[in-house]
Amino acid sequence: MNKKEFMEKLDKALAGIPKDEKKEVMRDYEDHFSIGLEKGRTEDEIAKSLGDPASIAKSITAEYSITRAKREPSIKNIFRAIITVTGLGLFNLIFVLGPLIIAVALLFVAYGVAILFIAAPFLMLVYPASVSIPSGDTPIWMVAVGLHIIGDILLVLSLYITKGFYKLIIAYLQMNAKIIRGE
Amino acid sequence: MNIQIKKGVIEVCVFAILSKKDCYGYELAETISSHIEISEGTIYPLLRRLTKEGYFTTYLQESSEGPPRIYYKITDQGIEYKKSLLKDWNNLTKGVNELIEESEKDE
Repeated sequence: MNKKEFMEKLDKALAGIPKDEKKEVMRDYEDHFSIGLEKGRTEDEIAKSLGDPASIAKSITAEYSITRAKREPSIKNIFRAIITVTGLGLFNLIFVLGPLIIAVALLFVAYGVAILFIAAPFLMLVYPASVSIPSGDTPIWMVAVGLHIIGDILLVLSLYITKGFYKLIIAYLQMNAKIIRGE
Repeated sequence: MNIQIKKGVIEVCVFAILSKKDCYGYELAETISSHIEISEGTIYPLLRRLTKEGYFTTYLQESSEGPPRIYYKITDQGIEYKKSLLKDWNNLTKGVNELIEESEKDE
């Protein structure tokens, strides 16, 4: 592989990062070739010692997407970070997406239960038959109010977890990127 | 060499070299390559990340031939990090070597 081929492959694989960032990265490798040539090495030798441009680009784009998700939190950026990080290896797809899906599912369940509990007293008023709880000697309205309070607590807790969850995803991705960086 | 091990090793090498003198990327790649086998291209993303994390700063210096060189200089934060990194490294290699020695004794 000569310099032109190496730079073209790198350029193509770096599509995900902004232009100015890309320019700086390309410059690093451009300079590396120039200095190597001055020292009497051939383009092929230099390209070979640099390694595979596609895997170099992968680690750069993954790193970049995590930095951005941290700086500008949004669903789009976090999703992009997941894609680029998992793009580093199919193996890691399981380790990133698996726990993520389970965690999101659990959160959804928590929200669902919270809303149902909060609605319990109202459901009981409107459709008395819809709330059938084995309550023993305790009046049913007390059970419903109790459920409502538990639902409130659960909702607040879920919101709180959701907030922390975002940070956790980023930390988790970072850890994954660290493990597989540049593979 | 296992790629994961190599990543950590390159980081240790970069800190060791830069704590002695400022270097440009090519120089670092060349120096490390002369001791261990690496893909030199991995140096630049590493330098970029460690610079972003505040361990190095960069400055430009003209060269008699070719493009101006981007020099990397270790920061105070980098020196602190290097200390803990080398401590970890020494503990690790010491532990591994002891294990190997013991296993060889048994044979």
